[in-house]
Amino acid sequence: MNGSLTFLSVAPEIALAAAVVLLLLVEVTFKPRAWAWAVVAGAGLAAGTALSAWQWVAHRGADTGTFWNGMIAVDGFAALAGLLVFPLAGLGLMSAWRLAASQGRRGAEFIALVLLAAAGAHLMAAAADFIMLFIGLEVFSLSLYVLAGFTRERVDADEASLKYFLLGAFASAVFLYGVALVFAATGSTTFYGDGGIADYLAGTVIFRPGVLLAGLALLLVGLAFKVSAAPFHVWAPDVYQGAPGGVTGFLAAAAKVAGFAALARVLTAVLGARADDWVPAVAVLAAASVVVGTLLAIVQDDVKRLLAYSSVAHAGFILTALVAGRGGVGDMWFYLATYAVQVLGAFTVAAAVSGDRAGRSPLAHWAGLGRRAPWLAAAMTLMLLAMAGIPLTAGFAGKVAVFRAAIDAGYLWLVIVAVLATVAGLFFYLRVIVAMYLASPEEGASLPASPAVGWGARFVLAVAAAATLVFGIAPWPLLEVLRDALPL
Amino acid sequence: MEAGEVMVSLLILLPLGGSALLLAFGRRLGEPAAGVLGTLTVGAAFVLAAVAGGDFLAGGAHATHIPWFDWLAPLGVRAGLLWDPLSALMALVVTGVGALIHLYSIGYMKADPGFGRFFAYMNLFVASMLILVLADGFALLFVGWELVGLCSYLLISFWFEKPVAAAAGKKAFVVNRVGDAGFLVALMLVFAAFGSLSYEEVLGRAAGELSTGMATAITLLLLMGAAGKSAQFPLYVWLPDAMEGPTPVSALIHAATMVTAGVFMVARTGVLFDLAPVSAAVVAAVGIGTALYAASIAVAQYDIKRVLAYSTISQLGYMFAGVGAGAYVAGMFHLTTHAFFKALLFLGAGAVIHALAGEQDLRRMGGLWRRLPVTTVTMVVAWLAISGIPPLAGFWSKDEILATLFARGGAWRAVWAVGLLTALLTAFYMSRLIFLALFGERRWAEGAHPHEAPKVMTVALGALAVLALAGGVVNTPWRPGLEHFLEPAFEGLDLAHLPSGATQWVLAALSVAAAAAGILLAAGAYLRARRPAEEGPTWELLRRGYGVDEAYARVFAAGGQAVARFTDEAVDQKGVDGLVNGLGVLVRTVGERLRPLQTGFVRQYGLGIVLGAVALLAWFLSRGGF
Amino acid sequence: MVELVLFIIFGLAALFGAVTTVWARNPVYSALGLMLTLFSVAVFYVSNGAQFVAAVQVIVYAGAVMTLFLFVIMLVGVDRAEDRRENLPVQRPLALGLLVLFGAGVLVAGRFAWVTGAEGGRGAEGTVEALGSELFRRWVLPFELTALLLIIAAAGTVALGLFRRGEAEGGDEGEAGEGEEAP
Repeated sequence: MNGSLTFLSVAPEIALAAAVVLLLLVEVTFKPRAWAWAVVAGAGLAAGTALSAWQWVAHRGADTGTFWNGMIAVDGFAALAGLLVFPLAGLGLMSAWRLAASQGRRGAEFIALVLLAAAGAHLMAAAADFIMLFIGLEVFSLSLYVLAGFTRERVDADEASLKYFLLGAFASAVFLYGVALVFAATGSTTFYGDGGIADYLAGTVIFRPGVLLAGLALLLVGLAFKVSAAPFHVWAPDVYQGAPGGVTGFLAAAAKVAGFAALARVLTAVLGARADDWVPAVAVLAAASVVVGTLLAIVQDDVKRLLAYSSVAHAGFILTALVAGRGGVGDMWFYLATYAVQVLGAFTVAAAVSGDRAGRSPLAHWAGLGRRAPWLAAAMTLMLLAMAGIPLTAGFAGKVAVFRAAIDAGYLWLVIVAVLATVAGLFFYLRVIVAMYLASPEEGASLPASPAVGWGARFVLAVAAAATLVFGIAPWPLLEVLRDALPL
Repeated sequence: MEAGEVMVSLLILLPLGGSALLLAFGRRLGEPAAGVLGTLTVGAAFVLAAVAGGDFLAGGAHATHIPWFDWLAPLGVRAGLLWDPLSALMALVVTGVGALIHLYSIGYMKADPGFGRFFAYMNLFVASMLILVLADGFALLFVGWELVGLCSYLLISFWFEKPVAAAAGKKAFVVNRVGDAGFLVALMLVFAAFGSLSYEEVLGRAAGELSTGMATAITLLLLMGAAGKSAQFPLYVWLPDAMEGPTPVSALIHAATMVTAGVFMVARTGVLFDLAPVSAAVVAAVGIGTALYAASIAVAQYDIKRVLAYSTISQLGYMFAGVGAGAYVAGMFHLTTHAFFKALLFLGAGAVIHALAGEQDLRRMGGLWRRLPVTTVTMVVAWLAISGIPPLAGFWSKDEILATLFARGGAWRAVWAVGLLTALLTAFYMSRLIFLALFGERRWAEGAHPHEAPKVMTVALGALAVLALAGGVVNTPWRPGLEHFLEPAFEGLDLAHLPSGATQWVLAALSVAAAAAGILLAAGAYLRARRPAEEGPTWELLRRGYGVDEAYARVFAAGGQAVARFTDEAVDQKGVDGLVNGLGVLVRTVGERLRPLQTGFVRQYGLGIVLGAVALLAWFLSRGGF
Repeated sequence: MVELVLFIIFGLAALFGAVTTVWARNPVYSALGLMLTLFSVAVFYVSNGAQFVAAVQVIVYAGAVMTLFLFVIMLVGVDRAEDRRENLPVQRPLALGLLVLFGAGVLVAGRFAWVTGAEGGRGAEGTVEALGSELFRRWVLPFELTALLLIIAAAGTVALGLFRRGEAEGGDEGEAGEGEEAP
């Protein structure tokens, strides 16, 4: 293999790891002000983004291959994941900046953990071996477990963290068991190349694929947990509601991106030869997620919890794209990218409304927001409309794209279910909007002090709104570009 | 882009731009500048439509496609406009009637704090409606469709401080969503069948490629959408409540334009309905059933605007019956004349309400003709028009629908008979309204000083009265101008035709007789010194609209909530919420009991994951065997 | 022959240790039983040629981890009577039923020919050299990347552990900050 690429293939991870180490060392040695953290973290993320961009320009579509003995892939898929995850981590940090800055010296660890989570997420997307994928998964998940419980003054943050950890460890174990079974069936943990899993499955007729399929099922469970698809979603509402407001957005957005990146590569590229087996299962998971997420979101009275259930439904919509196999990967990226920005924006508003450290965000906090903070309310309205799939927002274009992919794959019933859920979903998104504009705060209700929005959060909201509108009005250029974001 | 295309594009952009301007600067512009701006944009759009549509009158012009931009082009989703006689007619009606209503609103909304906002919404509404009618494919049609729904929500709950208005807006939105669900699924099916959403592709290829079953499925789902938007049974319940909005809104949205979207859509996709005779019959049945049903309810209403609302539903039913029977031209014709006289009726009612300082109850009006001469004259014109008295506009269009129904023979004769009965009822309830409101003894409160509306309002009334009076000339049996005009748009369709010769005269005489009978009955009952008692169980049933609203509230609202509650309680509260709520208490009771209970809950989650995993495993192993 | 005898002896020992771990009332006996099981399994590793894993098993698990366990037990107090009340009365019969089901499942599964695909065994030698060369040649990237996990562990521990000291104004008093969360 091309020797000069060996280190460049993991260059984004190296950049982030360097930033993390530098951050922690500088913190211990000089005890600097908060802006120094921002400089180091920003430099690390910028370097990671730049290196991903370089990988994208130089190696998208080109059959560059794998490095480090088939451990890591350099392809459009991985590069795009970097281009998505690193800026997302940057936005997440801006959104959480007030929270991080309020944590005293612990803020440095907070930032380090966000950077590590981003590195882990990119590793998950770029991994070309199940062992690598598992390490990426653990790097990513462990960072999030700690972040979920970062503000320990509230007992439910601790609770969220612990529950996330326990169930996440459980899901990881199931995933690992799946890896073991797939290894037993194919004799390899590597995805590509001679003797890799894709190669083996493409060239071998397996008469009794029980072990392979059992492994496949468990892999699916493990990754479905990460993306909070029903019925593996139970953790999401508790964790989103318990975690400190400032960090929930990043938690939700990054988990979706990383989980779906891994899922897409494993299913379409590695197990593509067994598509007939997994596609129906994925379709059922998608339908279940859409229905369960929508139904339960309707009855919520807490906005963060509502967004959590809506994220379950969105996991279903994204899975809908995967039903089309390789052909749906571009559509999946489009939905994923736009949704990640929307959910980050929505939780940023929630953090501003109910407080950075608060867990809950009951609907009562939102009453009359349209008068108290018109810009916040407008941003939230746009995010909610986009999530609901109103035309001329990116959410609509994304839904059209994934539905189209599923129709092409012959899954009309799934699309009909999803469309009905979309219609029903409008009710709960609208409920928040109605509360913001038409309801007035109850007499004597203890509203949090008037929403304070930091510059970081304002920037995040501006970016989210711009992206939602631009890609809603002219989605095609991006969709076209994403056609190149295919796994090897 | 040539001149014609620019004109048609401007048709939408003018009101849209006006709306944006008004939203941004409406408050600063103040009265009446904001209203003038709004009126001018719509008026200019009307002029453009008239100029651009003039070519069709000459008969030489072809339908033109105006591509706007490729929006998701490879998915077959393009944004473009289609300018043909059908869309031209609709555009003329929307902008013409719309401009007059804008003009009227300058007077009606005087001194309202939301003056600028009102015209911004109204302009947006006109723009949305134009997008809907000018779309060259289902995708853009749907965009307009949703925008129209949104605008109606905004305008119905314009006075959102009133809880009734806010609730009415929500109701309109929700009921429309029910229809939209069907509409969306229909679009999915269309896309699945043709791989495209443009009319050109879909309607052009339908005859060759679509199976009857698929056509029936698509059209029935389309009908569901149309029934939601055009307030047909069983999705009509939002329209009477929608009268909570300002009266010009009722005139514009809920009488003249928005509700016609469903009729227009059925006419536009006539090719598909042609392929599915069952659906066409269902359209006609729903239409004529709604017509009779709503007319009977209208007889017993006291709120002047509710009478008109039910009358709208009933008249829309006529149009549905017409297009369902293949009488597309007659349906569109009635749509046009109805827009004239119903807008006039609403604006006249608005003038009456305006004069009585907000009074809407017919029982507290009467004898107003002395005080409101202009309003009375124009209202009388509209009344005779809707009742079907020749030679006013309503007579020609209604008679054409009825005659076509009769001419198709067979079971359609029954539809015709119901239509005739409805015509009698229509004449009756409209006469009741006119007699109670304008004639007879005065019953309004002491101290009220009814006064004629300001000039801007009466000018609009007068213009509409002329249209209602003479609008029928565009399509008489002797000079079927509209039919020639619209012919290219319905090319290749199996159009129903009028009967000929003596039959036609007999039918016309019958419908005039029905109208006259209705008017005479009402005159006998309401022009006497003593008003009839109007009570008894039948009356009560009619007044409450057969109790359908209450039943809906009970069945759907409660049923839907029950489903949601069930999931909530069974799945969420015990499992998920129970944990969170219980946790606060639990954590504080530090002790031996804490740990086993807490792990118990997480175990429950774990169990959920395991069950899911087992289900997946079972699926995969059943696929692969061992 | 020697292998069979070893297997029988240490197999029984492993089972005995496992049962003791669950059954013993005194937690120290439980810990010792677990240690016995771990040792016996280490013997199996040796007899399968995986000397390195066996050594790791003895040093890390039987050595370090078990010592830690014993420390904790001593700190908590050996004399503390174990509470054997069942919170879920159906648990034992349910567990028994599931055990029977599991056994049946294993027996049934054993009757099928499980095709396990291609030859997997790389590094058949379980020696330190073989493992080392695998780890530092083929698997060097994952090995190095586990360093990230260690950083997370360190940073996470510091962050979560520092909290109480950092927030001196009430962190130690328990749930001072959660007044509004009360259900």
